[in-house]
Amino acid sequence: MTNISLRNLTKVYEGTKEPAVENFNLEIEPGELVAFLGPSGCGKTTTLKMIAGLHSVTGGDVLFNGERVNDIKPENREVVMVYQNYLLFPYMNIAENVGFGLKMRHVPKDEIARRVDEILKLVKLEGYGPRKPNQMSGGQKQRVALARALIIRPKILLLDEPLSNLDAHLRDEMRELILTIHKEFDVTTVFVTHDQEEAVLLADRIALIFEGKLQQFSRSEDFYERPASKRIADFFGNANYIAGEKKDNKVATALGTFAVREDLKVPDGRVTLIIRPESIELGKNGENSFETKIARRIYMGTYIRYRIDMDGAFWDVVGDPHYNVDYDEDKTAGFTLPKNKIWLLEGDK
Amino acid sequence: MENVKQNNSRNALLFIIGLGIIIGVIVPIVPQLVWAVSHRWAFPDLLPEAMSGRAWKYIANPNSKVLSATLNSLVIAICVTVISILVGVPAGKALGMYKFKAKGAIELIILSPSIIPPLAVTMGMQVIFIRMGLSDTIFGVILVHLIPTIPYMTVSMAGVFANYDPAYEEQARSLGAGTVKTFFLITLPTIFPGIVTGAMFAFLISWGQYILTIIIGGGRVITLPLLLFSFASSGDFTLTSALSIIFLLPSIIILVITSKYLSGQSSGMGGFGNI
Repeated sequence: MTNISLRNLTKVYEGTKEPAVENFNLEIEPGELVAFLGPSGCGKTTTLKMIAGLHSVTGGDVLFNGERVNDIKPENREVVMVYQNYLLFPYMNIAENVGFGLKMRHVPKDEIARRVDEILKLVKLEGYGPRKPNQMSGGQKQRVALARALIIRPKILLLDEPLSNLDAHLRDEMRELILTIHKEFDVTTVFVTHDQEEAVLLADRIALIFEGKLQQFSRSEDFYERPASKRIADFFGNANYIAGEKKDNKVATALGTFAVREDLKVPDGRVTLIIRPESIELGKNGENSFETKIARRIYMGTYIRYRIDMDGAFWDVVGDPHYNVDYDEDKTAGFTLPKNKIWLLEGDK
Repeated sequence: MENVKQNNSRNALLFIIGLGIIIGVIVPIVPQLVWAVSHRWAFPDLLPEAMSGRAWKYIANPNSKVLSATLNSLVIAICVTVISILVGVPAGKALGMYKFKAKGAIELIILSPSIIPPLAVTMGMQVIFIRMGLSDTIFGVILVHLIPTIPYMTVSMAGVFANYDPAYEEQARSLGAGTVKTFFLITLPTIFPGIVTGAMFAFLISWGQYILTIIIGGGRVITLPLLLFSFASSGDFTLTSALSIIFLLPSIIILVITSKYLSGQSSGMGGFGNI
């Protein structure tokens, strides 16, 4: 199993001044499934291609198991990339496509045939060998592309937007397949996506990238509960904010003073309090409770969503899914911010 | 049932198109085939009075220049084709795949010979060719044939490359293919049908060239179309027909190859795709 280290990795494309990737530092554990998440053009695919050796490195190093691979050609890295649009070679049939990597490694023909059958079975495409790529559906092509990558037992598997070209029902299927394969082959896997849901569903850890800079690298729970900035908090679902002054594990805001956990490493002074709409409790339950007006009641089918007036700003609150508590619009109601769900950011901008 | 109906109407359409091709292309060739082996064939006889191998004997005679003219035509057309490929493929790649300064102007320069009548260009070129000593030489004729073929090849390859995704090469590299294998196993098969199409048309353009050859070749470089033209104007139908058949051969061979070879599926087979 292979660990990947990116040290001060930088890429500046020829003819551009702004780096596409700037000073990346990242340690990916052996056998880990990691997502590079960010909006398009943020440098995530560039980073992936530098790991694959398909793009040269402008500065910094790529290391596999501590060994610098900057100068190793892509064909010798044992790193396979699976592209978003599958890129099956059109004039080869499915078996030839899947066996391509083994052919390049001069594996005997009968062994290639055996292993191709084996892996096609694994991706549930048994008997599809003689077909041509244009006779396959999008989901099938994706599975062929995966099989073609896995057959050479790569050290590292790189996936470029693996789910984004698929229909909703195929996405679930493909997600399961990727997780199964990842478990079975125990291969260090990095995938690129712009969809935070895809990242959360698949990845052990997520590297969030904005404008070529790594923002945060952690488990998906941390992005929800401990975001490093407002922007990150917004990228992962909804977040409510209020500015305040922290002192002795209490934050004084325009709506009252809220107690926060002792282990938050934010110095006293101006802070921004963050809480997720689904973390706010309905009703006044002791500490950190307050009353305010319901500005909007939105029926969402499986639950009710409230928009509450927070001193001019509006917060979202996810209501009770069982409708045991139901507030009317324009009435005053009680809410509680559970102490352990409150997250603080330094500064109030 | 719906399918059967659809198939029927499709077949009928194909039949009509096929019939059109036969009437338009093949029927006119039939009298030539007959003429080529006849002694005398006067109107309104349905068949010639007598058959004769005179034309073919003449063609086979080394003094008749037919063989040497055919050879000239072949050498010129092959050289023109090869040079067109060598220039047209990289030029087409640049136009189809890359953005660069003054791309529009360069496109115009490459295409201009096919916009301006070649005759007009060649009249001026002849003066230069005479000064450079290229007039009346095979080399000069090859050069002048490139005027119509290179734009053709370039535009055709630009179409192929505009539809070409270089990520295929990356994919092959990451699966373990080195640069040489990637070129031969991935790049070439993808663009090959485009090259073949362009090359065959370049060959035919050169093979059928009359005016450019006679101006620059000055009557010294004798090619098949030149002979054909002189026989046709002399009124010897038998000989003219026999020569026409030889003249037609490459077109027929190329037609067969294109229909057989290029019917396969390939992403590179854009032809005149979106540039």
